[in-house]
Amino acid sequence: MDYVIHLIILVLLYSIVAVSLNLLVGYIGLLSVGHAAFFGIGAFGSGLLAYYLKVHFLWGMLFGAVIAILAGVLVSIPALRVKDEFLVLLTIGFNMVVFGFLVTQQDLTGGRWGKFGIPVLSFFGISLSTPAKALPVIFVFSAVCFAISWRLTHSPFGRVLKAIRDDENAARSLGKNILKFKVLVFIIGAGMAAIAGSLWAHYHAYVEPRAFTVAESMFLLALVVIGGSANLWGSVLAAFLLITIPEVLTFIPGAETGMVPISAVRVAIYGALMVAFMRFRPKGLLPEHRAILTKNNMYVPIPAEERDKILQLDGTLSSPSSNGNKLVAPLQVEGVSKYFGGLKAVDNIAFSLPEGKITALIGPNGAGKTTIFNLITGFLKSDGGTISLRGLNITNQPPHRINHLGLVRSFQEVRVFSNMPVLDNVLVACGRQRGEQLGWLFLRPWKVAQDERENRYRAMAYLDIFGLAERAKILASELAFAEQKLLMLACLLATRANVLLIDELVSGIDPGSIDRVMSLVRQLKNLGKTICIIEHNIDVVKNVADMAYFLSEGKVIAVGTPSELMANPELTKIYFGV
Amino acid sequence: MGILLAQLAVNGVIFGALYALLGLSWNIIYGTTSIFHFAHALIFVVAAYAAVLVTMNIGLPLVVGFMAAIIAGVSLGWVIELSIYRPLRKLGASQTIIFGASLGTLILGEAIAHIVFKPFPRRLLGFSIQPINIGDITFTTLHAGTVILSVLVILAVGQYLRRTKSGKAIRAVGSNAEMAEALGIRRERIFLLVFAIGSGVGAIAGVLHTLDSVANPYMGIPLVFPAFIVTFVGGVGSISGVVVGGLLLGLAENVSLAWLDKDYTIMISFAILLAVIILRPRGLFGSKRD
Amino acid sequence: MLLELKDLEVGYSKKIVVHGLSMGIDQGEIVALIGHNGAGKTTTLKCILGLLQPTRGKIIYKGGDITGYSPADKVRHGISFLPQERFIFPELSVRENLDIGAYTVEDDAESTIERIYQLFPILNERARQRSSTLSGGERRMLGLGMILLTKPQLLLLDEPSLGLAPVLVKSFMEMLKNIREEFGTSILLVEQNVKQAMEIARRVYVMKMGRIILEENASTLLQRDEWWDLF
Repeated sequence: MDYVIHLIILVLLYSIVAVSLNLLVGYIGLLSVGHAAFFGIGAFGSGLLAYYLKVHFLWGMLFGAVIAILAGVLVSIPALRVKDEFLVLLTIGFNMVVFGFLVTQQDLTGGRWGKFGIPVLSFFGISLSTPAKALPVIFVFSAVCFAISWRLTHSPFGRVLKAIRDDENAARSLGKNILKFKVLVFIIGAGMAAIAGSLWAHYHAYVEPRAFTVAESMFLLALVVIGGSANLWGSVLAAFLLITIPEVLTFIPGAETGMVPISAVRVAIYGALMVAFMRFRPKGLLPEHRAILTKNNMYVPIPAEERDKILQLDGTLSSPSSNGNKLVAPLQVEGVSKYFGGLKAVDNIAFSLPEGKITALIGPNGAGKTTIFNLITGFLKSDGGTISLRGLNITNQPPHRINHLGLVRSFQEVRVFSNMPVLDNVLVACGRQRGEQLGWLFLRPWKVAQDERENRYRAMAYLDIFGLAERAKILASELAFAEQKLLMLACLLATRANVLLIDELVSGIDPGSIDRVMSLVRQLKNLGKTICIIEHNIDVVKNVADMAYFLSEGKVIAVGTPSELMANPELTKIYFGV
Repeated sequence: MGILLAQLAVNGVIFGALYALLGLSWNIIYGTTSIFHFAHALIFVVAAYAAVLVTMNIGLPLVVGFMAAIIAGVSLGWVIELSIYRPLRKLGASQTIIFGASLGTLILGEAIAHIVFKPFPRRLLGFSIQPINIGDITFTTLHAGTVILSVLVILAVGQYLRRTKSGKAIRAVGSNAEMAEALGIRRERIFLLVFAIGSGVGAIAGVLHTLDSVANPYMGIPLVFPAFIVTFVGGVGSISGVVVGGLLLGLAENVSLAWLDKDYTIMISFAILLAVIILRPRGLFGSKRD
Repeated sequence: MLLELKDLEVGYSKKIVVHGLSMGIDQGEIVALIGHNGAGKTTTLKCILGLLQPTRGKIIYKGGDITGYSPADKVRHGISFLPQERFIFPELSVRENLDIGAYTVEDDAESTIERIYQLFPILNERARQRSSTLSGGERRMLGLGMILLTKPQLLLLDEPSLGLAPVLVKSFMEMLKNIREEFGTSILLVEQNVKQAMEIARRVYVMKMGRIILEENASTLLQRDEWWDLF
């Protein structure tokens, strides 16, 4: 019986670590192959502190968690800025360094052979030295860790994580501070693994470096991947299967005689499973959960008057871009340049957007139009010049901050968060939410729930305007292409930004839907938004734009109404050569 | 101290040669295919055991052992590419999934090696190892042989890539795969070719390492990690990079022994990797790729 | 008809970029394909070469259906493609780039490359330099040189004048005419610079939102005025 309980405890501990890794891998898409290092830091930190200072294991756990979090911060600084291949190497290297440290510091850690005599788990003086006695405590810790992870991922915060994983730049343009989220999840994952490590140390009353090698990290990754990334129950299930089933194998006759090395067979099994899953069922055992806080009644369309009320309310809300002096242009670009090597992509450009109108940027290929959008929204650093939003200098500010100030953009390639439902896509866009901040999320959940209800109502209103209310529940990847474009516009509206930059309004849309898109853009204008579009379809420009700037080779050549520009033979020559 | 440093430097060059060879074996695959071929670690294991079986168990000369190792290594490389990477590519799998499959293959492969070959270290004999003394510096004939063979192999591969039609095709695919296809180069065939070359060179490196050490089922990862570091430090797709990167790593690890304990060596490699990632992500000789 | 496209439909994941496209090119003809950005011109060219597979429709070349062929096979059948961007191997030298171009040449690649040097003397001067050091115009020449080496019977060019100074564009177009006259090569030319394209083309197709909206003789089209309406 003790043996069974011991197995359950192992499953619980590995579940915590796997769940903590899933936060990194499944929710942010950070492929860490060194997570066992945090497990080990927690185990050694906690065990050694309790051993040397003779303190209660909870102090040890706190100590271990703090060290793990500090290490996590240090590792995250390079790790979050580099591409995937480097991240893999960095995390492996980190694991090896920690392992190396544990092995070399013999006096402190007991070196390769580890340290015996770690104080056992205890509560109120009672020593929990048998599996049966330790189980309740370990179960409680596991449940709490799982609950915290659950809350984190099934919340507005978790929604942002998935958005970041699906399309980082789109999330950035919708106002999310990517770095902050990634670092937070990294250190939460590290801390949680450390807590499991501490329990491990005090349960076994012994720590050894061998339990925290790169091979262990690979096992943890296998658990996450096989269980299903972004599915917490999946990680628990995988831990259960991959720990208990190999144990069952030890009861096969022949195992005793050592003919077949059981430990290697175990490893072969999970290696084979990992390959098989990647090849045939990459989503893992349990697929990613779809929506956050699924309550089906939340997807009900709302009546038209309610919707209009919401839009009116939006119109009165203040943001720097709507609040400021109406005499100053919503967006002003002065003397902005951008060089790529020797190439002048944008050459000392100056223009401004008129209030409440639709302005088009037109011109031949390579004129620098998208580059300008990138410069305005902070996706590229400019080599000179000023960009101001209602008088506020926003030159070279990061994209998420520019979003908060009331300017938002769309991308040439349609970027929606494919693995999330349509409604959730719009919710991500609904500005800074309390539910995205950890403090509110854990300390005042009722406020977060209230905000969420209001936001959902609003989001349904936006979807309604674009005719997508019926599609609220389905995954964004299942929408037709034209619908995805409309979803993207709905997200722009949801940000309540007053200045909208739309890159390629109708490209790729079937001719039948173009009229609909054009009328919706006009509706946006009627709501008081200032809009700038890049468009190559001349019909659309004539139909929709009040004014246009003609760009060529990075310079503004002319400005006027579309008809004026098209009647200008100079421009016709530049564009067509005739 | 001067003599100690000189000895360590010589050791550094010897290690550097092997690291360069390891780096070359992985660089040519990653540089051409962009696959993070983690399972490459298995090539070293398979090569080592093939050589051990042929030379120690069967009793044939070491040269035959080398050939068996190369055949085994190339075969395994092809099996992995054809049964895992290519089907996943055809399905349009993401880089993460392909990496996961590679990792799983490595885990599975090591376990199989453990089961089949048993975890006891196997020695590989057949090369007469004599000490060579130059002044106060010593090394062995094996070390000299390793350096010479590494230099020859790297030169040969370098010339092959420079001068032959298929060598240039490999570089073309690594540089701009779409344009290469538009000029008639068959990408899948080139992939097989680089897997063959990379696995073959890796097999040679694996045997050289085993001659100086032992073969065991878990020898793969400690050899593939330097291969990664040398590739990224030297620059993806660069032969000069592989040489300089290998020497840099070898010298740094060995010369540091004058001051640090050998268990700290891993930190040196980590520090170099970190420096490159932060200061010059494209590596010493690499080109700016998007 | 050397090349015939029948009811071609091409898309990327969800987006259908080309709908029901039908067009044809005769032996030794220069045909221009014009239209606004995003109209589907590049997609059409890539599909002809096989870099993209059509979801519907057929590509008939010299009477045979080559729709499913790989790019490598199509090149060996005489079709060649010069993309709008990223059409050289920047880490390789100019000469090495040309060597790649000559990959499908069975024998005597040397003298074939000599002819390219005669066409573009500047490439001979810079033969040993890394091709990343070439200017925009020189790169275009290198790109064209590379695909000419494949001895194409059908040349697909995607906005070859992009980024070239006007005087270079003129000589470039002259060169295309000469290539057609000397080798009998057919050319399908995608261009935004409409005038230049139509000065050497015999026929023009106008594409808009993924469909052909007009097919006319170049000379007739040149007389027109409402360019903006076509785009």
